[in-house]
Amino acid sequence: MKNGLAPLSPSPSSAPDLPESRMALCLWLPTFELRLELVRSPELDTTSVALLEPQEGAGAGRILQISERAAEAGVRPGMSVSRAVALCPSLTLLEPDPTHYDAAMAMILERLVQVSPVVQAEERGRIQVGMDGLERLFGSPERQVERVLHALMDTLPRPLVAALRAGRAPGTFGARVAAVAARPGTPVLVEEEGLASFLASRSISTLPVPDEMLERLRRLGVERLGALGALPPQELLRQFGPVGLEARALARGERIDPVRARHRPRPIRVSMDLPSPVGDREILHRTLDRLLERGLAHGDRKGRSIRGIRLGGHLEGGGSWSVPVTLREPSARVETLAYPLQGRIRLSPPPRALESLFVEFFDFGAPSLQPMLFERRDGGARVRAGSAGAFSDGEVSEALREAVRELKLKLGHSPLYRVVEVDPWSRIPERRHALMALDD
Amino acid sequence: MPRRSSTSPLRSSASPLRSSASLRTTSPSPLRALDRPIPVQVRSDRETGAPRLVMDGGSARPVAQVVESWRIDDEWWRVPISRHYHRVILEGGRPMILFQDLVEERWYRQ
Repeated sequence: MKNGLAPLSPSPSSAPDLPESRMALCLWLPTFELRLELVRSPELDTTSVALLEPQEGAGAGRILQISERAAEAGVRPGMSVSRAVALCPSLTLLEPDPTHYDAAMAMILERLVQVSPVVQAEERGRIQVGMDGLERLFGSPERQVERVLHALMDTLPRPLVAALRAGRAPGTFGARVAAVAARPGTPVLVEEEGLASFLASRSISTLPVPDEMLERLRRLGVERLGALGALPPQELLRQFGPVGLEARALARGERIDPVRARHRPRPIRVSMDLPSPVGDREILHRTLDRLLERGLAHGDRKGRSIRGIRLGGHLEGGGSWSVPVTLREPSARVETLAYPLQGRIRLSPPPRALESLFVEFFDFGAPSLQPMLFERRDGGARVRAGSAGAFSDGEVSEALREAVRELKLKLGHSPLYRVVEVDPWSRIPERRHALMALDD
Repeated sequence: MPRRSSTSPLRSSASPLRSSASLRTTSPSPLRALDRPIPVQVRSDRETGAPRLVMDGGSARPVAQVVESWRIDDEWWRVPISRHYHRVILEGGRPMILFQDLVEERWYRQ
């Protein structure tokens, strides 16, 4: 899906524990990453500049975003670097710096949360802000949008705020379409009763559906949302499945997806400057292990297990590299966290040597009390099934051994168990861990 | 996907540890598998197969959101395991992992 939007979810409802807002304000900064680069290097502002795509594996890179001058020379996003340079010999190529872009997004989100509690990041440079209830604080819809944009003034450089496009409408899709229709400095505001007619004249390109579906619709002559909304539902179902029906509901303004607050815990980040630039995978793996140990020992973790990790670093000669990993099951063990990260290093290695390395825990699982209860003196609480089941000296506290003895005397058996790893990498969940009776 | 109705993969998965050679030879302590699948009644979408309604503690709870779906196909060389997993959020906010055993055509939560 080239438009970078979240695909249609199977159900429009969500967990009601998270705050939601029906009225949405979409803030959109096209070519967000390139604009951040131009703020960092203003001398490039009037030149031909192209930002490269983050490189996946070996091979020549492609163009991600371009400046107006580069566009005038015929350079286009998606073009190979060699073709772009052939068209525009004076083109300045910029390495992507995802760490910088993510940090900027985090700052913007943090500022927006102070204005509205319901803020949802859709992608870099596109944010939905919940507007329900803000009229009592800020007044008319126009004033509300003004206040949100004004709040960003002290976080973002003025040219970036000035380039923002803002669209306010019921539901995230309506707001997104309104933001696309807006010009910088002139927000588009759509009220409930005008939503269907507003959407009808807009392009289908903003629909969060696969590119192939958009292409097929265009081949059928369906260019506008109004034309899509007029198609018979059973035909859309036959042609595109449930996505077709959901797209029709969006196009007619019948499906309103609220802005949903995303609970984002403060990430834990640990980093290490490398004494000399490192490209060797073995050294990266060892440094990764040390960073994971430091991250897991961080006081802010408070016993939580880790679900989402980002590994990255600064590249020799400028730019940065980062790869995110989300674990299917949260863990607080170095080996379990390191394994998928090592896989990512293999699949998407840093394009050049790294001057520094960081690990960021950005998503967490529930705190696990079990390891604390059964903490062994020599480290983690879990044992492999192949190791001895009975206690050995120094493994389990004397108090726990005593408790087990007392329970066995009273009950005839001990109802205390320890978790053992059986086949932790099994794809079958019930084969990974087992309970083994604590026995003295 | 070859279907085998004679042997249930869940029957074998309910006692998965017995077949582990490393365990047979090490500890006399009884082992109890964690995360065993629990049978559950689910009403699924006829078109997509996604769960829509889960019977939970005697009451029917609608699925508010299917967060993620994935498939596990394994051990086709002995007793095939074929499961379609769904990580869902029920109305009320309770998260749950459900899977449909595609061999048995039964639903479980895990």
